[in-house]
Amino acid sequence: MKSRNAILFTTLSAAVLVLFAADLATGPVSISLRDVMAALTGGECDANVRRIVLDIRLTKAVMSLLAGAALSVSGLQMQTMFRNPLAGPYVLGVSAGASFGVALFLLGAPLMGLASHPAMQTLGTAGAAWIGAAAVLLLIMALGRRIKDIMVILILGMMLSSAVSAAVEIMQYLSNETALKTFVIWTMGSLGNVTTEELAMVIPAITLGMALSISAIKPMNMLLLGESYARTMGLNVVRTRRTVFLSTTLLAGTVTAFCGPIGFVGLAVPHLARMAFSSADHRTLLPASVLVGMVMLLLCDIIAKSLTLPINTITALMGIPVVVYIVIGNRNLFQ
Amino acid sequence: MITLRDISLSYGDRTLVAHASAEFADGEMTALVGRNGAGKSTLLRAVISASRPQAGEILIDGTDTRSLRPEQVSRMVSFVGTEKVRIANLRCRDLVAIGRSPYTNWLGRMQEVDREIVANAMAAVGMEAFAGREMNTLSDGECQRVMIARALAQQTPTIVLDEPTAFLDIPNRFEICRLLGRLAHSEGKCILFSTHDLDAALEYCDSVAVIDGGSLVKISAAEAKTGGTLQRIFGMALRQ
Repeated sequence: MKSRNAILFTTLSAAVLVLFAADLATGPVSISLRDVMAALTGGECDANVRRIVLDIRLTKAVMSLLAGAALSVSGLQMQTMFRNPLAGPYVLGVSAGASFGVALFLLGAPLMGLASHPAMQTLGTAGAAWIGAAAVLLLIMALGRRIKDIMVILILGMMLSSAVSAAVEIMQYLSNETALKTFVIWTMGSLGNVTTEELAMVIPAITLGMALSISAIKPMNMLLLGESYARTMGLNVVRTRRTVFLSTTLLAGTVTAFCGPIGFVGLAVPHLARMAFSSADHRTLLPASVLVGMVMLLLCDIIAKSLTLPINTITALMGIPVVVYIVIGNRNLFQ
Repeated sequence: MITLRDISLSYGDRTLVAHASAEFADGEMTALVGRNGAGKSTLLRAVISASRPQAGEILIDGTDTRSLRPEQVSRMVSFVGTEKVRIANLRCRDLVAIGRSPYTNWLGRMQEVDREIVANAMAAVGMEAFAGREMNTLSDGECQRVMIARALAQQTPTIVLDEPTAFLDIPNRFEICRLLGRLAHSEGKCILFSTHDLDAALEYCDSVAVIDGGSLVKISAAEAKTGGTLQRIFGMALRQ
């Protein structure tokens, strides 16, 4: 069992490295893998190639790695927390909140004649998305503080998401064509708009989210048995919820803020990790989800770039079959 | 050991138990009986500190539970509930190992001694052959045994169980009661469990605690068999 896990972890790590290099080689300008390696290691290669690889593609590929890992881990912890195989990083309304922030920024500000306001200019799409996601989460945490049953929180999250989405639709309905198009393109997701400076903000946020998630590994194992059992084994359930919710906002909220909502990765990857490692232990599943998530998003990015399609369409087409397979093939997943 | 001192319990605004006192000793197995909605689960929830009694105090091993933090309680009382735990990819061994949580480090790392305790707990419930089986492949009876093994791995002097024989067939009901009796009598555990299975419970338990009409009365098993208290409450005759 131990050796099987070791083989799987090694294979996945190797796959991440290979796909990372392949991702750097893929794009409008075709660059050979040898040139990619040369550019990365400072070897002999064309100055233009070096610039494309290091300045443009490297940022994007690193963002794919981070986004894949972050979305998968937040999906894993939401599935455990809610004991629901269909929970994902967005069940708490992170995506709806982010969309609301962006909609206010792209659609609402022009409607109110605030688009040129200096405060709006400095905020940016990512800032607006992050504030929106954090606001929804704070609201859910405030509402959920006194609620014992985690299912009620799940329903609150879903209802709040729907309400926020309705507000976004109203704004869409009222806005002009240019603003609407910018917004719709944001909702399709893109790993390509992230700058190196932005990456410097993304990395600490995701690192902190990951650290919180790692600190919740043992609590999450206890929560497999449900909150009431976990309590009788000495778990502070309220504090664990807070840690996990905060971690999810940092992970999924940050990715969504900078790349738009990327669907199905966070939902499907934890299931792939469980199947591959046939384990329910988060000490295995967390690193496994990180690696499988990286592989999946790099793969999606390579396909999206080759076909010049938005990343969200590819993640959906790859993730949905996994989810369907899970639902049909393993209805017994969580009792 | 569980000590109830003048406790009152209510569910919503309905009073279930008023001013009840009782003691459940180590090495004693007590069946908690009463009609549906009498307050058995509410009492058990109060004993494991999942809720507070309206009034009075509950002592575990002589300490008032109000002065104990959850992690302290988890080393004194373990609990087996009615909730079914059928998680795919979760092996019995790993589920029982989760019972070591109060003793393991922040990552839940198992030491050699922890693994030994888990193996002993599995053996104590006769499930050592199932260690590598996944939880979603077990029958109700097997699942219940594994959940009891998890409580044993928690190494608490007191074990509280909410209807451990529900959903089980008759041979399994007797088996579980026999197992609980052995834990009380040869391992010195204080066992308090709620049940509707009077036949199986009376066969093995030392005493019976009856919740009826707001009062909690504890009588010996022998008295319960002959005294007529249970017949009066349940309106039926018991097998002798």
